Formats: sequence, C-alpha cells, structure tokens
Amino acid sequence: MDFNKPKFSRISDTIWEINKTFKEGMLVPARMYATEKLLKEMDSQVFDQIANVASLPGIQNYAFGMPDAHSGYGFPIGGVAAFDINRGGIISPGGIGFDINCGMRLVLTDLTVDQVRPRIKELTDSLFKSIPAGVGSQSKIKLTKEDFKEIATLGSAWAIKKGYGWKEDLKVTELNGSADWADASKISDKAISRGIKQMGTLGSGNHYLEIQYIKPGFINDRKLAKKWGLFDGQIVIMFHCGSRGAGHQIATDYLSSFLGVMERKYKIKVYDKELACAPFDSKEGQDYYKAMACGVNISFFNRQLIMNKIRDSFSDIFKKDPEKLGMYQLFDVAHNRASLEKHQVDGEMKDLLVHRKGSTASYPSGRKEIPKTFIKDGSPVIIGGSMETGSYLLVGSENAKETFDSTAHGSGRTMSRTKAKKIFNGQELFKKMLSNGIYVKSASWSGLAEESGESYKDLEEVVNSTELSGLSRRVCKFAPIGNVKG
Amino acid sequence: MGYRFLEDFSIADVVFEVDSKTLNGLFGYASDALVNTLIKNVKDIKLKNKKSFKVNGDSLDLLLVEYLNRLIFYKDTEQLIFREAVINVEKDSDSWRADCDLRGEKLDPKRHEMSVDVKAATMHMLKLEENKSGWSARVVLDI
Repeated sequence: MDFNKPKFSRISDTIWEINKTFKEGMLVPARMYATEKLLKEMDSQVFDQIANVASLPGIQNYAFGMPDAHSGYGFPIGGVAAFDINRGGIISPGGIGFDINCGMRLVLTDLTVDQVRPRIKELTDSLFKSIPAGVGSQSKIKLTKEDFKEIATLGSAWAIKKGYGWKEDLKVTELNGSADWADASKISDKAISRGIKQMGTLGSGNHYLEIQYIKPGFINDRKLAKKWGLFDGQIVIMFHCGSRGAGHQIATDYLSSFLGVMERKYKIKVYDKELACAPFDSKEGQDYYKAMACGVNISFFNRQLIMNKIRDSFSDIFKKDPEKLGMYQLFDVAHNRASLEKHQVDGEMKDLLVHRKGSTASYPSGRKEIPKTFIKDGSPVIIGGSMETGSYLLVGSENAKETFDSTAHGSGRTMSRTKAKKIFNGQELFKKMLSNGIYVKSASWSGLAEESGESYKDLEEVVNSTELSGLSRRVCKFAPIGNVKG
Repeated sequence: MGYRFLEDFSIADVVFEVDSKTLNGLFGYASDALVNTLIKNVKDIKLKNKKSFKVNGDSLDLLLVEYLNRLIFYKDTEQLIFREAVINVEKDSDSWRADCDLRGEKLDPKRHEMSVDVKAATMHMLKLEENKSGWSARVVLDI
C-alpha cells in the first residue's frame, strides 16, 4: 500500500522534521529521531501515522517518531506525543498501545557465562516449562475474580504480599510496581475473564525471555555499570511481555466508548478510528486513565510472577537460593504507557500527559519519576534487540527533554510477519542460531521465523541514533545464549 | 473466493483479505483466516465443541471486527478454536446483527501446530464492501 512520503527538513544528523503542511489537520510538525540510513529504511505509513498524531487536540511542540519507529495502527510504534491536560489535551488508548505497560525487566545474577553455557539447554528448557508461552498459553496459578481486582489495584505489591518475589523488587520497578490511581471498578468483566488465566505467561509475537551475558568489551560506561552491579562475563536475564488479554480488552472497551462520544460530545475528529480519544479531564478520559492504571498493574504483576519462576528455575538447576545466586532485579520499565508529567513548554511549566507507545521513558538525573536507587544517575533504559543480535542497557540523558524524556524501545521491525514467514524457516533458523551459540526453545517454528534478526532494523544504528541525538546513552550491551519464545 | 495474507503493510501485525459471493460466507472465511493465523493445520481441528452467540455492530465492517474479537475472547477464556462457522448476517433496525454457530475444539499443543497468538481484530485500515462478484473485506489483526 502506498502512502505519501514527506519532504524532511534536516534539523541535525539525527532529527528530521515533517512540516505541518504535509497533511491537513496537523496542529504541530512531527519530528523523526533517526540517522539518515534508518529514516530511509522506514516504511512510508509511519510518516502518515505520525502526521495523524500531530492532529490530536492539545498536542505540544511536536509528534515524535523514535529511531525504531515503524507503522502500527493508530499511533505508530515508537511514537511519542504529549498533551496539555489543562488546555483540552486528550488521552488515547491507541496512543498508549493496546498491550498496556508492555515492557522490559532485567534481572542480574552473580553467575558467569562459563558457569551457565554448559547448562544452557537444561536451563532454557526449564524456563520454557515453567513459564507458559505461545498461542493460548494459560496461567499455572489459580486466581479468583476478587484476587484479580486486587491485582489490578495493587500490581506487584500484591505479588510480594503473596510471596511471589522480594520487597526490594518494588524499589527498582517504575512506579514501585503500582499505579496508585487504579480503580478496578473501571475495567470490564470481559477484561478480567481474559486476564485471569493468563498471569505468569509470556505471550507470543515479539515477546520473549533471554539468558544473556556481557561479552568482554561490551561495557561502555564502566563506572555506572559497576554501580548498577554489572561486570564482564556476567549472566543476566531479560524478558519482554505485558498485560496480556486483560490490557488489550481494557483498551478495546474504552476505544469503543470513546468512538461513541468523541465527535458527538467533544467535536473531535480523527483520521483513523484507532486514534479515538477523549479530553483527559472528561468523565470518559478519567475513567480510561484509571482503567489504564489497572492494565499497568496487571502487567507489573505478570512480570513479577515470571521473574519469580526465573529465580526458581535457576535455583533448581544451580542448587542455590536465588539470593545466593545474586538474582536481584536491576529494573522494570514500560514502553506502552501514558504518564502524567511536568515539562517546560515555551518557558512555561505544564502538566502533560505523555503518551509513549513503543517508547521508553528516558529521564535525566533528578526527575521525580525515577526510582530513588537511580535518581542521581538517570533512569535505566532497556532496549531489546532481535533474538539474534543482542540488547542494550542505556541511561536517560539531559537532551531527552526535547522528546519529553523519551527514547527508543527496541530494534523495530522492517519486514512484515507474513513476508518473514515466507523467507525464513523456523527449523533452519534454530540450527543457525545454535551454531552461533544461542539455544532457542520456541512454542512455534513459524513464530520463530517471524522473529528472525533480518526482520528487524540494525540495533547498533538505533542505539547510535538515540546516543547521537542525546536521548539516552549506552551503559552496556548483552549477547543472548538462551531464548524462550512464545 | 477465500482468504489471503498481505505482506506489505502493518508490518508488526497480520493483515488478511477475504472474498466471498455472500456476506455470510465472508464472515466464515474471515474466521478461517483468524484461526489460520493462530495455528497452521486448521483442517486437523476436531468438531467436538459448539458455540452459539449473537454479535451486533453499527455497521457491517464493525460487525466483522466484533465477530472476530468474540472468537479471540473464546480463545483466551476457554481455549476454543473453530473450523466450521455457520453465520447469518441481518439488518437489525439501525444496526447489523450476526447469528453465529461455530464448531471446533480446545487448543491442543500436541496436535495443533501453533503459529502466533492474536490479541485483537482492529479497525485499522478496515474495509468491507460489496462488489461485482460479491463481498470483500480487509482486516488487520494485532499480534
């Protein structure tokens, strides 16, 4: 399908502006943060979608596309927009992402690659067995409807109360693992029914769990890496998943509710139904904000359960308590969330609802949103690469204020799933990765083929773009040796 | 007449087009495309379970999305996937209604060759129209 490609104004080597005249209705220009190479590789629909975002009421400064941006539906993936909540600014489920609080968690160990590599098959198989993944995967814990409502209200804190983790896990989770404005009366029975059997499951698509290590030369900021407990040869576990069907149902329910009132009651017109929105201070907007917080909490809880299973598996294999294996959480960070934040716009401090869809918060040191552990350093930014190429840990930097403290979240796809499945073969990819020292356990061969490294952008180029534009800077890189795929 | 998957847009998701001589058939092919996104060997689904339900939509395209999302709901909550669909679409005063009778079974990882999970049928680039040879539609599934 063809979309018009804009003429870009070059602001710098990594910032490209799309003028307001590109598409009717744009209230502000759009800015893409990318090297010229990445910009050229982006699908043209992403520019059409970011222009649609630029037309939403209350948007401030620019609609932003991050270096890993690609087309999604409604907002592009890798899209950022901030809305002034005191001047008609909106909230949009499609701008937050339907998998609410889809995000990344990084867990440390004291183990080295030499200790783990000989047992990688045993360990990966154990994780695959204890953490359900793939189509229709179901939870191993039984929850009542009342339990689920408490989870939606309390998030990770509920998990800790029930013994699924350590108190210190909360201190290194965004929002301390609990969005405290959540109101479970704002989510539907349908959302509860979809989520109740899916807690502690990884999901499918691009969701994964990886055992990774720090190769010699992979640490970029040795001082900060040491402070955060990272060392050469170290094994870490990184995983990516979200609020599963519950979060999706919450967003779907409110999208439908917003479509019913958006034009009639609030006179808002959008280019794509998936951009449906309501003023933040309207009843509908406030209801969704409270329901979204439930999705955020459900996702924190899901990742907390998964981390608990990871600790159990490592403990079983290495016959040591997880504490003695040094299995502390480094950080848990969302990349699909709206966050109420104060930012300077044209010299005025404003209350903004920052929508990040497929974008990680990248706060410079001192921002109140950063957990105390990291407040002097800046927020940790976890960027997951494709399963063949590795991942990055970065830190928020001062220049991110340009993008309302936002950066990339992953590699970003370049090839459609349908095309990737035609080109690549899951079994062959498995063998290729094995010969490269990566053991994969997947619920689906075709699902594996869709996630081949060649379906994604060049991770180094994405991370370079964030660093060159000053959105975030490298702390260290991780290479995968074991991977669980849904 | 049937369904096919498209390669060139919504790269993170799955997009399909369906054609049918009848509107009822169009809905049937759309559910086949959804199930074929979830598993590869659709023909191996046994007809052990029945599900009958009604869905409503303000327009025909939204009715199709509502119908597919109901199937996703049954997949998530009861692990049901379907191979046979008997659908009757009718105008219902100002809106549209579909009476649906489906047969299939619970997902079985031992017999069903899993592909990729679907989170929702979306309204993005949604199209449903009548043409010379019958009806056609395009749906983007969120993965």
